Amino acid sequence: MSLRLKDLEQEVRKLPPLPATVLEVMEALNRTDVDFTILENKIGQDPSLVTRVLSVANSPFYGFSGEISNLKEACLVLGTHTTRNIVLTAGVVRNLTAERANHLDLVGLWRHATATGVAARVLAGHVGADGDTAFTAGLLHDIGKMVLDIFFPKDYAQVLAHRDSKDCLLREAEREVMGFDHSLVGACVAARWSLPGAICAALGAHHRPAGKGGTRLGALVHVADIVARGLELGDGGDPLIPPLDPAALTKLGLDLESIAGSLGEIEALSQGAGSWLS
Amino acid sequence: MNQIVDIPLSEAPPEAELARDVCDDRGNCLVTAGARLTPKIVERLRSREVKTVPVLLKVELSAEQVAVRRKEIEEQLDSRFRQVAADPLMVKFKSILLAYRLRELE
Repeated sequence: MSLRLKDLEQEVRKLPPLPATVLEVMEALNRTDVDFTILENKIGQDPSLVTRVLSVANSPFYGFSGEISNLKEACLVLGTHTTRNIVLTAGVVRNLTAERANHLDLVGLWRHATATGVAARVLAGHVGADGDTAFTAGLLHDIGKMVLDIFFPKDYAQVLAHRDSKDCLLREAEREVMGFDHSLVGACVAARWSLPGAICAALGAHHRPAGKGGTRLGALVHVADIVARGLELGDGGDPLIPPLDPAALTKLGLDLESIAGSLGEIEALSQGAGSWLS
Repeated sequence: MNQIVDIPLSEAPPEAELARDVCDDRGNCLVTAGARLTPKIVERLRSREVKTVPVLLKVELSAEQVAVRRKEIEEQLDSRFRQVAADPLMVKFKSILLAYRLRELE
């Protein structure tokens, strides 16, 4: 194996940084007194970012279907928190969709990711969590799988061979073959790309929500991931449903009945959540 | 029942509504769900080598076909839950998903 735990941080540092425009927009958004004209100018330098902000603002998520055609208006209506999530997500998605997968079905994996984001957002409404942050964490929860497949194809080929021969979950195969799994890689990559600490932590703990470092957001992503798999929305990288950690439900104060009542909404919203990937 | 079916782009009816987002092979979303297949969109999808598109079709099933579909759904769930079949929480979750899936046959 060429990718080892002790080398992981160093390897992740070699990944391309987030696009310069995204970093500049984040800087503008991080000011205490955000100037929306400056923000508009910064985002306006990047046509694909403009498209994404407008298309997300007009998506069914925010209830302004087709009404917002102006970038400044979109930023004002969405607010700095949501705009920050959109821009950060756009940067991560752009870095990853610029590359070709080697083994994984990236279309299926992104579809699973958007469904997990949608599920996290919908369930956040049941537990009093922030829906935008939940969506971002859900959408990005499997970036570790993508990074491993895109940038470390030889290592990941062995992982996938192990998954197939043992009929096990992808993350179990990752641990067996590499000694760590995609959740750790995802957290490292998220930190490299300066994502907020809460999202880095959620990515790192979405398979052990009750363990060390586990947070409510991590628990939410854990549940959302399993709901998306249960609904067969996309491809999580293996054909199995992982066990739902009851401690995650306890941590969230959530029960299966509430989840059952949300399945239709999650499925319907997931079919049209691709504006985040346009 | 209504069913999302992936049909060849060349056979899609004009102005058909997309039931799901259409993405390229890297995951970039090309057209979002709800868009109608205008000649311009069809050309765009063709140029990006999209072969099939998801559309919502109304399908009438006989009682026998319903039984077959029900069995398929049960078998798919059994297969996906095979490693957690002894976990009471997952058994309950599976039964919730089965009930949800069977609604499509009503």
